[in-house]
Amino acid sequence: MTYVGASIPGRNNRRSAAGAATYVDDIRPDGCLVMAVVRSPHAHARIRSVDTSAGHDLDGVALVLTGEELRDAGIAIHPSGTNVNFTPRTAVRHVLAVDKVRYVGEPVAAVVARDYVTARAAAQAVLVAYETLPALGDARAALKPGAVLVEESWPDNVMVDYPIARGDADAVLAATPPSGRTSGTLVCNRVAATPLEGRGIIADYNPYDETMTCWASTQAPHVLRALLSAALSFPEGNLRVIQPQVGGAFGGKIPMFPEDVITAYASRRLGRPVKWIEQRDEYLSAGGHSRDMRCDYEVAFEPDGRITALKAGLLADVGAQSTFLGWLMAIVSAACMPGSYVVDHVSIRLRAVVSNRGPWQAYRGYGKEVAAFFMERILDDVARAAGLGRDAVRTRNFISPSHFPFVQPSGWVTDSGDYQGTLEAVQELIGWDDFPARQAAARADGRYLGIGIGHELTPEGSSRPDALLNGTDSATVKMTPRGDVTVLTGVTSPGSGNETGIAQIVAECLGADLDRVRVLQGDTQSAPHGNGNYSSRSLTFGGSSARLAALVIREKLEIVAGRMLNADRADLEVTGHRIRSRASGQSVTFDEVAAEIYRKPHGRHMAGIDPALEATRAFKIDNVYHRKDEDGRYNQYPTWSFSTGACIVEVTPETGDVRIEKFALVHDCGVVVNPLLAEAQLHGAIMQGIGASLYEEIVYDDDAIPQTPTLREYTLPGIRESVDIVLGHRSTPSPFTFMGMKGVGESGISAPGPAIASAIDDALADFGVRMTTMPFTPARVWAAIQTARSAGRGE
Amino acid sequence: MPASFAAPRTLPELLTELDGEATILAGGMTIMPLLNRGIGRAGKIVSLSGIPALRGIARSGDSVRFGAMATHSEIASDPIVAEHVPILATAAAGIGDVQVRNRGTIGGVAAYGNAGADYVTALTALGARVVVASRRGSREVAFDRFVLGLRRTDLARDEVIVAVEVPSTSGGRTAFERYFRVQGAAPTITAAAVLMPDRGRLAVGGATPTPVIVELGREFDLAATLDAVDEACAGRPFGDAHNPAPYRRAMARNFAARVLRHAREEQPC
Repeated sequence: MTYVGASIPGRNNRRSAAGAATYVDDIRPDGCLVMAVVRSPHAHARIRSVDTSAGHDLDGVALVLTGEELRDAGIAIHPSGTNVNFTPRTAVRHVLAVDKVRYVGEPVAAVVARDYVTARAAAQAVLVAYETLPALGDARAALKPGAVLVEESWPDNVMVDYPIARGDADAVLAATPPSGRTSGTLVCNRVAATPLEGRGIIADYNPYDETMTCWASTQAPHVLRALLSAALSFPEGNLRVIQPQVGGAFGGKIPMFPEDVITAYASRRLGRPVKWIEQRDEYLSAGGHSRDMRCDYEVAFEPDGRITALKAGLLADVGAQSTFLGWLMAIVSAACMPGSYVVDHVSIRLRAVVSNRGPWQAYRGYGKEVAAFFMERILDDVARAAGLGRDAVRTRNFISPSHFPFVQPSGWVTDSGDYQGTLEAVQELIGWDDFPARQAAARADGRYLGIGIGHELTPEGSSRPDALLNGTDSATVKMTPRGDVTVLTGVTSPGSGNETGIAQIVAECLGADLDRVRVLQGDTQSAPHGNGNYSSRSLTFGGSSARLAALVIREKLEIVAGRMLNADRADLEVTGHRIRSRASGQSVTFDEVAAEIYRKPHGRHMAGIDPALEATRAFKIDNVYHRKDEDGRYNQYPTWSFSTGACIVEVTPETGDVRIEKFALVHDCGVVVNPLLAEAQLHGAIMQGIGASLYEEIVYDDDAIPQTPTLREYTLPGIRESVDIVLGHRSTPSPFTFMGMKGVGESGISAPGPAIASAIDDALADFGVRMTTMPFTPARVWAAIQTARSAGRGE
Repeated sequence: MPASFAAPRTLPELLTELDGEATILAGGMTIMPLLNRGIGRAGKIVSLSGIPALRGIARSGDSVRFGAMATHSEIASDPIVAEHVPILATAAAGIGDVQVRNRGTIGGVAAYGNAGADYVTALTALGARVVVASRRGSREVAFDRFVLGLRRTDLARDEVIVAVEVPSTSGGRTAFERYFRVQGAAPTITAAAVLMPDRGRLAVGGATPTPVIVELGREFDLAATLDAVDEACAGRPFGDAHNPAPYRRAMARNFAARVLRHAREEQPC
């Protein structure tokens, strides 16, 4: 039976579709109290006083916490971890604001009460006196000389200044005639992942045995346990974190949040369970955003489209810093340029700047989508300036398959790929060659159709040095006395169904019947240590770890079965939960071998054999360099999936409305374990990519006040906005993983932005419109057309 | 936590509850999200759901009378509405999603008067009247005088909307246009045209705090009408993060043109 490569429906489908899954808010421990958070209404203000008395006095209120109490109790998050290539400015983080608030939504105080309504009322009764300070509405304001400081211990608002250089871009640009140069500015919008289920945690401290159990809608229970233990100075071994069903995460639930620490602290103080469930408006202001980056670029190119030099200034508005680690996405954006393309002379300077916007939190794409938007728009600009086809310019500059592993100017090592392969395949799928005739016919009819392409590089398996989110994971495989298989993994599922893929890998490697393999995840008490779910690594790391453990069990089963069958191991065939001697044709089932091992440990087939039918193994991936080597290699991404997207859009010039007629994506994530689940991931990622391209933007005004506080303003695409998606698969296996898997969880989120921009430009070629700022809202497209018209372009 | 919750069964009972402190709960599609976010007074909630007199859609002379609790779903599918004020059915069918349409009410929309809201524009063009009651008595207000500004209406804290009366457009030509970005979000622009044999009116919502109104004669000049819309928008700009005022102003003109064109092409019903 071959399970790997089979489209097996996700094991979580039935309970999710039935509404029978248990999410964190469905868990109701006896005597559970509820926490509400008092949040800053100001973008930047000094806290003069916090008067909690009116909150305390309400009936049903158990506790009111302030930043001062937590600080005095020694609760603070200290900078940790080391970074290679750059040094970020850091500061101690308080989970409840001390002295001042730095963004709208920052936690200032917390109230614990018998129910949510009481907690909410008490939170409203807490009186905070603020003295407002000038607020920095964005990164450019934060960079101005004399700008107010968000972090008062820093000399300015720059958190990271990270230069990347290869060759001499300035010299090449200076030596290139104007006809061989182009430049521009690109802006990527601030967005929020917005999972259906918000954040949430229950902490239950037991004062009698001094243990604490937390149920959290998190991506990484073990990591949360370690971080909570450090934050609270609570013994890690006495702390248990359980991840119930998670209703979507997309990076947005990588630990740790201030509310996690506050909830756990409150439970310990009260000796009672305390629950915090995020409200949607809390999420949109304080749950963490991403992207929000601009790029000023200059490129030099040859007449044939070959790019000879790239100079880019990247400015990331990472917002005010909290306990989140989202700011690292800015590093990924910079380090993934030029990405899929060979450019000999590169000069990139990233400045990540703090402002009074909200902090960043990881989101699917993790900065790679920003790099893809910038690079693909630059490639389109070169095509326009050189008078070449958009596809031809990509073909001219792609890293060729023979040049892998390829060292990026950042030192990151791209493992393998065939970018021309996905480009050609997607052109075929979208009907690239036939389109110009269709476009011309539609144009004659007064309709504006356009076609566009966008290539994305999606490095996966993020393995940071000196961090718990690193290049390994572990799994346990065990067999019961009656022959059933249980797999416990350190990776978790955010609802994506990776447990199904892991079960397929284990069944395949063990020779087991898939129906008898059960995968359990998300409980620090039972699962071996692991980093949870992020960076599309659940199969490459979790599946590979489970495979190693399964092979240990298989070896033991084979030895004992061989003795039972009087056969050599080499003669055995293992499939369908049965071990058969090819020579004799006789066989034993796994059930019989398990019974032999468990029931007759002193029997004649067990001499010299440790009777444990349980193994834990950790897969440590190759192609990770945590010390810069002599070739400049420093690499935290072992595998590099990629895709090329293409789309056809129709633009209505009177309104600026953009409708996607068809979206095609050909992806390459190496070997696919479960095509059905891989496609489900791609469909979701593409829709999120389309959402950020056309509909979604977290907007702040000049005073850093959120303008999109609810889902009425933060407009997410719904079913009406969903589009016809056509997928194609290719496979260039990674040389560094089991079977060549690369990871597929993020693929597809980056290509829509540049592909849609490219298609809009194409549709509006008469006007010479170039979409440079995401999202491409009707108002922006319309404004671009007006600008073109007033410059005399278009009809 | 609300200090009190009342669900009266009759109109007189309701009016005794309306003491100026009460927050009225109709379908809850506007007030509940606000209360959930801690906005508005939650001390005393009075629900309209138990009062049969506030329900129903019926002919009333040359008008159609909508009980304040008539839901969008009812209005979208009612045969009387389809015959006498079809654009109101069109407007109702475009609101939110099916869950919202099943709960949201015409009275609730009228009470908040959101800029660009489908009914606000349609009722303005239709020349609707709002029937309002309180302990002090009842009164009728023309809808275009009832909506005073952005989310501001001529409804006192002790008053409740009982019904909305809409003149039949039978024998006239009407059209309604809705321009929106994402299903479920507030529309960017709504436009309604009512061309009767003896009178005509255009209303455009979404570019100004309250709908732009242009009265139209038997014959009207399209360009001049659009210029009038444009001028009105320029004087009272309204915009937000995704749809800034200049864009809304341009779209007001666009959709005014569309809705007038569609109305002219309509067969008189």
